[in-house]
Amino acid sequence: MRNSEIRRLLGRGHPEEDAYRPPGLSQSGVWAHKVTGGPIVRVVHALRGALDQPATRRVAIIASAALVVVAAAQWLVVSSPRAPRPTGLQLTIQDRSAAALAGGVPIAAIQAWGGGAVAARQVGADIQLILLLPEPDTTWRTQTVQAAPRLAPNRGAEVRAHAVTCIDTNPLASFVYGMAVSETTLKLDGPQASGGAVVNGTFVFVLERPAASGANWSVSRTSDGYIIASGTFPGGVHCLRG
Amino acid sequence: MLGGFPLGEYLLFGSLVCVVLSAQRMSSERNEGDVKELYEQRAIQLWSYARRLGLSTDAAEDAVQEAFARLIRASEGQTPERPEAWLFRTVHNLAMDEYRRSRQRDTSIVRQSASSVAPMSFDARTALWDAVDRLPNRQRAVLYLRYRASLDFHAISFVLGIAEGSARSTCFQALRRLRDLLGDR
Repeated sequence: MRNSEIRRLLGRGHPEEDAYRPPGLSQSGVWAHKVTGGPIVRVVHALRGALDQPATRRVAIIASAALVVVAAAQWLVVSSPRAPRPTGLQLTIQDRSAAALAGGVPIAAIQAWGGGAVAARQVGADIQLILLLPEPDTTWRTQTVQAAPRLAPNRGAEVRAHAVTCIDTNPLASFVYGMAVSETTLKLDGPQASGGAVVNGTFVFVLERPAASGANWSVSRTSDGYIIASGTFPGGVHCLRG
Repeated sequence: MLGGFPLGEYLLFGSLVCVVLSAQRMSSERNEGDVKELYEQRAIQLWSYARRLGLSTDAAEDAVQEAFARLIRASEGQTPERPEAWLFRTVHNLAMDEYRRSRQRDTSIVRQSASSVAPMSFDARTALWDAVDRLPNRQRAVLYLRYRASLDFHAISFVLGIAEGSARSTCFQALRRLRDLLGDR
């Protein structure tokens, strides 16, 4: 086989790529980006210096006023309402310093992957879990359930999830897009956690026991229908499937 | 007379706040779009790259997601200069971590992968990739990064943590070895 033919076939990718469809990108988290240093700070420093000099003060004031007008106009433009983008990215979690859902993990660090996955945010003392519907071929609607975290000192957390009514006729197959869900995973991979499944109409977290030594998770169901997952995270555990 | 009245300071502060807020908003939207675009363009390749490094389909998917999660977190500080190469490097490192863990568990995920790739058929493409999966790790990685992911050698050297010249020579050796393997069929 010639090199050119090899390169051409390599460029087409492995045959298994043809059938692979990556899960939809659904992100929760903060897209706050710090503006530090750079031209803005340099301009401000220059203006400050000009303000200190009597000879240039008037010019600096005029420049600052012009800057205010331009910046305010710009702010109005970028903050004006826009039509929602059809991306399925419906959740932005604003609070990175929220209390931990599990073992000191910021709530905002919870990532919702896989199109219709679960995201969470803190609302007051509650953790609000949000089910997204980014995929047009599913029949899920956004729902919320309340979960109250109770933190063990620096270690584990107890998560209680109320039952929710499943409106999908085939929930186990389509709750999380892209997964053949017989057992949906709540992945506890470092600071990330997402997932869940509806079993007999009840929203259930499935927590897998991480392989990391010292981690000790267990899942139990209470008589009043709560699913409780509790245990310890020895800091950045990595959970394996299965 | 403006002397003594801190109008300039007020204006300066106001302008700074407006500029920063605007820049934050625009930067946030731009980065969100960038990551989404990157995901659409590269998710399959990153997944397949992780597969070539021996991860199972699930583990490869996890590695890709973890890489993007790290990119999002990293972009809150200083955005990587070359996010595509950065993603491949992150996936590569995650795969190597998993490989080391699997060795501790006394299993060889690479060996499993090599025998569990797409079902064998006799078309040239399948035969080629079957041969690629039998190459040593680094040669396999370089071939994928160069010809499938279309990274230049500078980026490949960044992904693999090797010298650029070494990446070039590895690529040359990999192609030669690949031809040998295909010739054996």
